[in-house]
Amino acid sequence: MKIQIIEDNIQNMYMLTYLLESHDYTVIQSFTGKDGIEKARSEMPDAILLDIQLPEMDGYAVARALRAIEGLKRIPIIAVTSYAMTGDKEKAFESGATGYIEKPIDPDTFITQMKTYL
Amino acid sequence: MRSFKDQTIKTKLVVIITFAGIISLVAGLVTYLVFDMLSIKQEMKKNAILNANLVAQYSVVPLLFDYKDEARDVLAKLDAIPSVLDACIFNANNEIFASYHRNPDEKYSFQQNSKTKNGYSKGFLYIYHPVNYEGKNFGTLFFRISAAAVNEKLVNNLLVMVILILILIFPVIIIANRLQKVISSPVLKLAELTASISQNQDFTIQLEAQGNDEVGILYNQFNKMLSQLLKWKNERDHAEKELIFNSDHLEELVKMRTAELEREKENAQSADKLKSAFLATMSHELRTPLNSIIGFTGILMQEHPGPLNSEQKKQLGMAQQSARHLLSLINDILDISKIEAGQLQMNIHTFNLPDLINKVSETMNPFAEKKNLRLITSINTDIQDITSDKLRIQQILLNLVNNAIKFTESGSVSIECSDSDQSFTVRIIDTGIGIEEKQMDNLFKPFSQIDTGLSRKHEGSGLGLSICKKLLELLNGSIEVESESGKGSTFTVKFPISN
Repeated sequence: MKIQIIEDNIQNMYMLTYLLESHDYTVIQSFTGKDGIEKARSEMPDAILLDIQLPEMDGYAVARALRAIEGLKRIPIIAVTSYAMTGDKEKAFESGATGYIEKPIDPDTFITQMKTYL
Repeated sequence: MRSFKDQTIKTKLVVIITFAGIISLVAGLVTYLVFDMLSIKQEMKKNAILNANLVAQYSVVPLLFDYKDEARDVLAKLDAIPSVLDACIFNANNEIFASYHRNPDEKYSFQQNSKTKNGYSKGFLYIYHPVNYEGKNFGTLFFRISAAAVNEKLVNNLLVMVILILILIFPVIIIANRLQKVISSPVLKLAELTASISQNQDFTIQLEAQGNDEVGILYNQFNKMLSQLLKWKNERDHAEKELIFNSDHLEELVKMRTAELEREKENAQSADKLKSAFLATMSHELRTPLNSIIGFTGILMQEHPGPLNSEQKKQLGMAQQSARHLLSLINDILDISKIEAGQLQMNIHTFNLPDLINKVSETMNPFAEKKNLRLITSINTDIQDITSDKLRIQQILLNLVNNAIKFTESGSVSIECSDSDQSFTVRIIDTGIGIEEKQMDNLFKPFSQIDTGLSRKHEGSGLGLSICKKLLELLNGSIEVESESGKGSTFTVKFPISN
């Protein structure tokens, strides 16, 4: 199963990639929203883990852009974000996300949490 | 009909002057009449005496020689004087010697009496005249004369007087009318002016100066009064203007101040927004590295990358604990900031409260066991479902139970749950160090963990109770504490069954 991670922090990217790969997922890495959209169009992942606080183009905008791409209209998009201000979760769902995992993630439960949205 | 008192001053004056005029006219005429009458009577008497004297001279001879016929002839000449009605001659012995009667049908009976004084009586003039010759008295001559002419004259005079009064009354009224103006017109002018002043409130008018009489004095006083009124009015107008100016200015000041306050409010609001945005960013920035710290320690401890020895595991565990503590601090700071910015929204739904309490108890039990404390849970209520914010209630209870365990070294921590009057009461009772009275007041204020000496031992942000209090306020609940230093504390949390 091919999962795309859109995340700007290199350490977090490494950690998520490690976790997913150790559970036999194929990972596509994107460090910016723009790259994420381009790679999603070309690679057509089965699911996307999307960080919301991204530089330049934020996660909400990325989610909306992804939903506009033919073939990506129904795939799971899981927002992975720091639970910061009220309304973040609602905003993510409004923008097209189908799942929501709070940061910091717990390595013990992350995969189980993610699977509920797949 | 109006009484004299109610008549106009003009009418009064006319009446008074006219009355006075007529009174003096009548008095004058009556005086004239009386003197006229007296002088007529005097004249008549004088004439009668003159006639008597003449007749007496002619009567001397007949008396002297006793010629009675001769005497009668003398008296018969009295026909020429119509006013003489009767006449007679008494001889020296007081006997009637000769008599005369103008009207033979009404014969006057002559009586010789001692009364010989000339005078008027009952409309007649009586004349007694001695008949003397060479100093010797030969008798007395008597006339009875009609005074009707006098009466006639009196009636005529009275008539003339009445006519005169009737003629003169008109000029008197006209003169009175003229004269009254001297007094009434200044008074009327004053009255008119007073009326117009009271109507127009114009105190600038001044009366024209009059003479030095009472009216003049009145006018002067009235002018003085007007000046005083004008002064007062000006002062009052001035004060009024000042007042209006001040009130207008006040309004302006209030507007200015309001605008300033609004600007300040807007600034404060935008500052709040900036603060919120800053907090959101900070929270993210702090969590991002924490995310990988917690993540990597977790992965390492799962021994995915490779097996760990016991010391490595212990040290990694400590790193993980510190990271989690840091995370809870960040969460607390974010929570209190959001509450203070009014941005925390409650997520209200229905859930089972006993289940939640049991879950809290289960979660905290390992920590209690670690310190050899008994964690006792007793649920004394039939109510199952409540409507509130489940996660926030859980957060409050976890915080309170965690505190109780943290500050208790031996004994127990109890969670007691009951309901009354549509609200739930949860008591968290410990047998810990308790809280000193002086610390009670600050207990629910941010960053005020009790006893700085203990804070090293009991880690925490010092925000927990403050957050609990604020959350309960948002959930229409309350929190109270009872404590005895050294014996333990009881935290009582109340919140409505339905929110």
